[in-house]
Amino acid sequence: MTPQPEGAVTPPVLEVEDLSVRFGPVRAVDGISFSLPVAGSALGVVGESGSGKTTTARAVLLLVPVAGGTIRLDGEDVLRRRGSGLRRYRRSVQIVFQDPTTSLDPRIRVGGQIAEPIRAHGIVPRGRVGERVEGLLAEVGLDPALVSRYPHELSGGQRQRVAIARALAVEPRVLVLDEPTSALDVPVQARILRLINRLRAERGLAYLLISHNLAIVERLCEETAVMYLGRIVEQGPTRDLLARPAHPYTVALRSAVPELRPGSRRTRLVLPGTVPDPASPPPGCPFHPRCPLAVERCRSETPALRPVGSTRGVACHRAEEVLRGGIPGSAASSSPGS
Amino acid sequence: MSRPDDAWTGDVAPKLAVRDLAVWFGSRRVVELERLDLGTAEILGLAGESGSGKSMTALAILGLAGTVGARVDGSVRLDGEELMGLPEDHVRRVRGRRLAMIFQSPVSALDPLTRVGDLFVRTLRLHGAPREEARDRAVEALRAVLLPPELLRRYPHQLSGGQAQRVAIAMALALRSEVPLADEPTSALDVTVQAEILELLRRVREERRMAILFISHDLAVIAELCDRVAVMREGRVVEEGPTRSVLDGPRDPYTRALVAAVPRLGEGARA
Repeated sequence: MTPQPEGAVTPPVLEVEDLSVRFGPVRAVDGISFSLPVAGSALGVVGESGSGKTTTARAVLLLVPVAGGTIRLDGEDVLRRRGSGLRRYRRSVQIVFQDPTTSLDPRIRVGGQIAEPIRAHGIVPRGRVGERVEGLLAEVGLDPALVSRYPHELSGGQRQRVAIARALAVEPRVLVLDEPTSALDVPVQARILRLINRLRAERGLAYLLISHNLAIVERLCEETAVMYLGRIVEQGPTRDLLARPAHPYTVALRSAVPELRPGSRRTRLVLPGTVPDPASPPPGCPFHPRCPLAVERCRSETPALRPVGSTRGVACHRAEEVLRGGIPGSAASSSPGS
Repeated sequence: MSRPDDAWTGDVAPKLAVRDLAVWFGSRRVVELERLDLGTAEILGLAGESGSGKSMTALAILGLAGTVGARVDGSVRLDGEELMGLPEDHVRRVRGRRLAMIFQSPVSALDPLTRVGDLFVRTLRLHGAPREEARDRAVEALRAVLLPPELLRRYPHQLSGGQAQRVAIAMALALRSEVPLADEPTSALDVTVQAEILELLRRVREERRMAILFISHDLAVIAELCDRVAVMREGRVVEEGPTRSVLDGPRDPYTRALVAAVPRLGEGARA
């Protein structure tokens, strides 16, 4: 931790401001801002394929060139860092990918997968690497005897635990989880989510969780940002956002989550079509071609992300109506969490 | 097959009836199903984790278990006609047409070098349709799954995951398939696209009176779609019944664990 002068406000662990990523003419990420305020924070970024959520994760990891905006770790601008400063940042922010089958090197034994970053960053003296690897395996709930196994000898859940152990090996501050359970069976998903939640408390990690499923985000994250076509269209405390969504797209995402009791679902909003081609986004609100509430204004004027209530940001001209129940069942009903 | 309890509901014979199905890899038995019935226009969910034998069951029903080196015995009847032990060419006519497989990753299941239209024509002609009729049936089937006919000119990699899965369903429709077997058809899709595909399957069942065997590890998806569910573990069905009663009051501890694992909206962080 950077020492703070008396009375100064501690800067967020991670702060992203006005971030943009372009691929040629495509604005894959178009001026988004969010932060992980303190150790233990968890922000969920939710949206469909093509929403820009995975590109956002890659930009935070500096795996794709950033076209504009700033990324700060503990208040320090990351994009200006070079050499050892950049290396420190890369160590501080680690990622766990969706598919552990492809993110682990098939030719390297489990022990080697985890030892490699420990050696590369000189986390412990060489003689103690083996001991550290075994400690990490135990921490993620694996038998340390698995060090000598190859990835293909493990189950999907075990492989994802290895990927998590490898991310933890360099003692990061921030973990980016990109659909960490989407490739796994539901019962395995539940166990991995419990592990991820436990590690957050034990290690004081801050999480950026990328998912297309609001039910996964809700399990881990107290704050959620909903992305559509490169922008954040709604952001706020998860519980509140799910109970009273203010953007029609959030209503649709929520109603798409499969439920054990479909009969009790309050809203059924199946969106027509798919996310538009980001190379030629529609004019006005990018969501208007699929929006059941779109009016003339939505076709011409792009809504800015604006505060609605004290904790919510929404980019919709008709957010107040959505909150009042402008889409059948989307509001005016009791909070599902209470 | 004449015991009274063999009948599906007592008066209607099942569309698909599986009896004493066993799938073997060498001396290891990976599936052991006493009975599994699928009624006309019924959607049956086959639930379980990887390795529970649910996909193997589907392959065995299709007569494809041999392609992965497994040996099958038992009885599989479609409209009362025994499929097991039929000559190979006859089996080929049944599978792929009357029983059609819909896979998890439709893009990788489609030939990457063949345009969607040619794929339809080739498959339909293989099953006896004249060329002109094949084209018309492809267009009609695409319309039924709400895809534009222009899609016929595309290659599989030019389709989104949801479009590719619609194409796979359209293929089953164009073939006039009676019992599509869908193996995790929505597991690789976004929840929004998954919701559309489930909606589509519900609709084709209504319109075409299709019976569907729907395989999934996610009981919530099964709750959204299936009339009945059979929960598989280690090659056996541990619990079976109407979806609502199984999910509301699971009797088997394994079913209870599967139900408990489903992520639910409105529960908040609880781990």
